[in-house]
Amino acid sequence: MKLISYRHKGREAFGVVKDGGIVDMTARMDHPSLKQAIAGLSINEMEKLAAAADPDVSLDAIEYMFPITTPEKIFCIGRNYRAYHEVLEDGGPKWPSIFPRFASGFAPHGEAILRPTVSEQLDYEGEIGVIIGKPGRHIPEENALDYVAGYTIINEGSVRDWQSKGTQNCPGKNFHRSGGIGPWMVTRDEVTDLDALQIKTTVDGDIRQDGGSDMMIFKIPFVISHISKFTWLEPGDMIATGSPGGSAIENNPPNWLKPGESISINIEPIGTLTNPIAAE
Amino acid sequence: MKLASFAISGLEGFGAITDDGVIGLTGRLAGRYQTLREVLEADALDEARAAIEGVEPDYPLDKIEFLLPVPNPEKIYCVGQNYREHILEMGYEIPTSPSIFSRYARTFVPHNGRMDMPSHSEHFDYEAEMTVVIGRPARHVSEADALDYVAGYTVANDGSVRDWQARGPQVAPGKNWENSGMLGPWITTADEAGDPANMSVRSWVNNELRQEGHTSDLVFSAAFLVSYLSTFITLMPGDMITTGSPAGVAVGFNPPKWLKPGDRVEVEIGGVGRLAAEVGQPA
Repeated sequence: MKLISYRHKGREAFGVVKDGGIVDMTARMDHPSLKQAIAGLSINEMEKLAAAADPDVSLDAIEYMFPITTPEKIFCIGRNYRAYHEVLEDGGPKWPSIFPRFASGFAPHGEAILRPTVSEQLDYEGEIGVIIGKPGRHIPEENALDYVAGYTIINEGSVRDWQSKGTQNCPGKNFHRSGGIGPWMVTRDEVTDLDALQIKTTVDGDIRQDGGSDMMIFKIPFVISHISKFTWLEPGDMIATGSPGGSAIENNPPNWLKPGESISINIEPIGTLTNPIAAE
Repeated sequence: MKLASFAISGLEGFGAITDDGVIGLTGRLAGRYQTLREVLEADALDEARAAIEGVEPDYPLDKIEFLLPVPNPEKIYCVGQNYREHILEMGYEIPTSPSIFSRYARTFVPHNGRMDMPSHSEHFDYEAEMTVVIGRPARHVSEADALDYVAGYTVANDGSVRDWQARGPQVAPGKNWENSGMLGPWITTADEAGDPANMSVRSWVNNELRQEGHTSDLVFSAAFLVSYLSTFITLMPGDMITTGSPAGVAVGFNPPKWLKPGDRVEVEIGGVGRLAAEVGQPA
């Protein structure tokens, strides 16, 4: 099942994607947002309500919002894919690279990602986004997926020269609307094999990234367990799980994103996240 | 004016802290603001000032339970390695760009709160920091204009779990432990706090003075940091910037003086306030 948050005729709502449209759940449930519906363990109820209804609104008629409109936390994992056949020295990194982002660093599906005024080095990173479904701390790796509500697509957009000013990557990872999240989330049951997802990033149709999640170094259950050692994970929290090779910076010369281009990240069975690039 | 967020009789709100007690302001200003963040968003500090003029306190200070000064900030940015003397003492070079990272609000406890001793580490450290509270949305503001966007200042302990800071290339895991830092007790408005480049910064553990610095020693000033951060993001009312910590942290001693359950940590910023909390058991 695909769950979406959206704006229609100025009203914020959430619902179930069905037959090219949306069955509005805001009108059928007491929950004010998808985050609260997930926290209220209402995914099964949404499935029943959607099965019994026809779409209320067409996908063409809405403005997309982040699937979770106000996530408390977005943790990102850096350098988490090995190249095909690559043998990592000393067995690879001992610990994942983890950094937080705030929601204001992203644009929803369909809205412009902004190329900053102060840099030309706007880059893309297509990633599987995990959405947490229930609160957890000290989550054992073997139970970690029980805490997942579903998955979305994250373009963990980065401004490369600002990533290396100072010792921390934060400035380059926090530019206003420099990434994307969406278009919706699919519930956990739709992803039967987390090692069999293919991340395909295209810019104006030109394939830039095409990597499989089997190349992920720190797997999703480990990452959830690791983060939950230091903080509570809450419903609606997101984890961007790292990007396969093919970012602009890896090309010579780097093919940075430019205003007027359009970037799409496809991960089945989640869908495709598309954003135009505009000048700030 | 000192503005704090607090709970009283189980109800959360905000008010002004005076020498004689607390003046409750929740819902009492013309905008019926329910939180201090709403007051900042409405740029209504003058309204709050007028409302407390000549008013008797509603409750004594010991009746309130402090919350984080802005309980639900959108963003908290932190600055590492920002005190000149401390950087040189450690043998580092003076950086040309600030080291910036972020923390979520839930990693801080309020004044008189209880921090959680980390469950998987003994390397629990404190960092006394002067903290900027943003009052107006700021994007691409110049250093010269930056302080116009500051509502006031508060006090932070940017509590850090040192071994987890070094796990991976980013410090975030060691800087985002649940209830590992302190923030508060209140916001002292900019008119009352004075020049952010002229504030003393001190911390104590169990009444032993550990850190003693001065914001005149900052490599990157409050005004520079507001301007710099506003280059990449819109700073919003209620957002906070912790500006770095002077020498004297636990890891700098041989052997390190790590925090333990039962320790009392106090941080004072001259002209702003004094913040205290204890270290509790692991959660």
